[in-house]
Amino acid sequence: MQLIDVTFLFISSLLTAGLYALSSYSITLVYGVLKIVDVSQGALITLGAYIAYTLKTLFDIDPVVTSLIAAPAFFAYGYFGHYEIAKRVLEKYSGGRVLENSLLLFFGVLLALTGVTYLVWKGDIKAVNTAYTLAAVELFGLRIYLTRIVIFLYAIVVTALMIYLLNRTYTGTAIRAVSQDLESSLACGIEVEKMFRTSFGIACALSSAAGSILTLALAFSPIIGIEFILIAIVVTVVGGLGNFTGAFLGALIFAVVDSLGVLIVGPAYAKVVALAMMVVVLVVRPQGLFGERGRV
Amino acid sequence: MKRSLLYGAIAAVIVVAVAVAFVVPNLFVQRRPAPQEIVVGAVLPLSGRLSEIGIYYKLGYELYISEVNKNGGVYVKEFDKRIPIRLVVYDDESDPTKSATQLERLITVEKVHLILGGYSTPLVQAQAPVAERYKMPYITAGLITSGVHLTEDGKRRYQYLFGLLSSIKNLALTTIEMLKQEIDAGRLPKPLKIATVNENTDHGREYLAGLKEGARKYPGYFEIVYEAFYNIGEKDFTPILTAIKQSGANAMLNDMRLGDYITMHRQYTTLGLCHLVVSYGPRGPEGIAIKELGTAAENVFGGQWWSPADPRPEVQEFNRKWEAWVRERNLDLPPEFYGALAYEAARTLVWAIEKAGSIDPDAVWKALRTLDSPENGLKPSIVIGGVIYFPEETGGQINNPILLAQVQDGKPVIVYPKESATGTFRVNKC
Repeated sequence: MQLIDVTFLFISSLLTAGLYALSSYSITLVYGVLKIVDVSQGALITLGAYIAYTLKTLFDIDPVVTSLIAAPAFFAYGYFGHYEIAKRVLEKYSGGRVLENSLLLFFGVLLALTGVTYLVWKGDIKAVNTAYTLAAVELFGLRIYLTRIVIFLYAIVVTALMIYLLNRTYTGTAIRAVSQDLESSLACGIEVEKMFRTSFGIACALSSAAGSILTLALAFSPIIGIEFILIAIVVTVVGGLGNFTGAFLGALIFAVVDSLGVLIVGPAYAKVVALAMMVVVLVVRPQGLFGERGRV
Repeated sequence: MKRSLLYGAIAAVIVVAVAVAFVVPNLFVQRRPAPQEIVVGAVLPLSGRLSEIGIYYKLGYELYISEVNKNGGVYVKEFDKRIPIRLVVYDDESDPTKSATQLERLITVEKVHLILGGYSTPLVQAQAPVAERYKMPYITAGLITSGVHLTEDGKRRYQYLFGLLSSIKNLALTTIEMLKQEIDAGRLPKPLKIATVNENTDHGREYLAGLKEGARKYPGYFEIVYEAFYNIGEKDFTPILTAIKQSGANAMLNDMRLGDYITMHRQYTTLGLCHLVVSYGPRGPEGIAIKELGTAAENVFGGQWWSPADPRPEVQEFNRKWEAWVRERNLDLPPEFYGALAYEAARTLVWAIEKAGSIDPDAVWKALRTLDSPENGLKPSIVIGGVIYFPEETGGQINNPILLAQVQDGKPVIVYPKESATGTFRVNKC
């Protein structure tokens, strides 16, 4: 393989990382703040994809625009609905089994919401076709997918916004405080429940946005969210649970390892290399490559 | 003298005993009363993810059975009369576990006389052992994978399973046959250098095995220069496409799921790749692919197990019947292979009942076993090749050719075999 092909693969995989990063942010945020793993975000990714498909089919709305339109609705669902589900677990199992029970509960929610998707849209493969779906950008003799560039830039903007929100606003500071020390936050007068709700709202909005955006690059069915949430778990473990910058860097590493793995062990086993990397990270650095315990 | 008398007496007793044993019982045997109706059961995915296809099978079965019942039913020699058929369909909710349980319920609780097959490999895979256990002949038009018909060492897996869909391996072999014709006609170079990427399943492995078998059959015609398996749901095909580009292939023959085909072919087109011939196995000319890929789908070809565009008169006649049937039910379901081959499955079962002269599952099974070659097959038929047969060497799976359709000017055109073709094959200009 020539150097130009390896360079092309490297650039292409970096751009693909945008997709993985976006889909991992909701898990990152919920884990960072509430210390629970919300796998049901996968179903919201799927819903985001189907809403993008529906709006594109009915009103010719671009998925990027749909992601902005749908985000407030999903925020509201997270704030009022999804949080209520989590709250029951938190209240009932606050004695120390929150993580285990949240996994079970949200896995159930994931299956239920995926079932709803089947009910409404059936199980057929869907795809969204935009004016730039097949477009490419020529860069030093390399053809780069325009859709991947759009997704990557979108991911950069979302990452920057999240970092700004968490570091430069009162709500963000309060969320970080809650994630680091719940009792001290309560003592300081922070409305902890409101911060939990807000975190869920943001997470659900991020998932729907990720779902809308992925339609630019992929055909999908109701299991697309389940596929992405598995990748998201790997990405967040590698990058650092509960850490946005870590998740973004984790996505970059995952995408590059996955791509180069295809060249080394073939496409059927490339994911094994990526998963082996996750196991190594878990053993050597359990908090992830860029993670610090209790930090968002 | 005394001894000979004794022997004579013994012989006489034996003769009388044999006569009593064989003749007398028949004097008291009464012919079984004819049933009011023949109950045929089927378990189909009428809800869940496969429900949109499951309905085609139900309608196909119902259509043929309605035709039979219009003529007073099926003639059963055992009862010397025509008996109407009643179809009982249970829903398995697209769930293999429920599929097996529901079939068992049909046989043991509903006590159906005979059964018809389900749809989709996992569901048929779950049902086939149940049919085998109860020794019920099971005709399915919903199973492609030959691994269900045959064991790893090539033996028939299920004695009671009869399949109306040709194998995926046969699709690869059909593709090779067509491409050989193109090479012979000078429209493709010799050898044709093939790159092949297949899903990492029995389906994909079988397709690759078919390509290799075909390439071996015609030495010097084909050379496989790149082969790889990918995992279903792959998000980024760029590394594979880069390797294909490196391989120097001038043909790309893949076996892929619809979603993966759309995702990969978008990336293929965006990267500016071009091969003289491009196929995604059973994928290519679907409406959704043509819609979402637009001009990128042009000249992509794929296999079809049946097509309403097949110009044979019997196919066109079926299309008319189907359209009227769904119109009566206010349904908007154009003719598809699911419904057409379900219709043929029901027809085969009725043929077997007539041939057996009985509704006894064992007799019907024996009748079906006589359809073991194209010469002994059920014809005419709307299946490709026009004959229904279940050879032993394929484990009871029909071995007829498969239609190859190519996207031409945004529409699917049948290009192979000749008798069903509605257009000629086009080679990409790269």
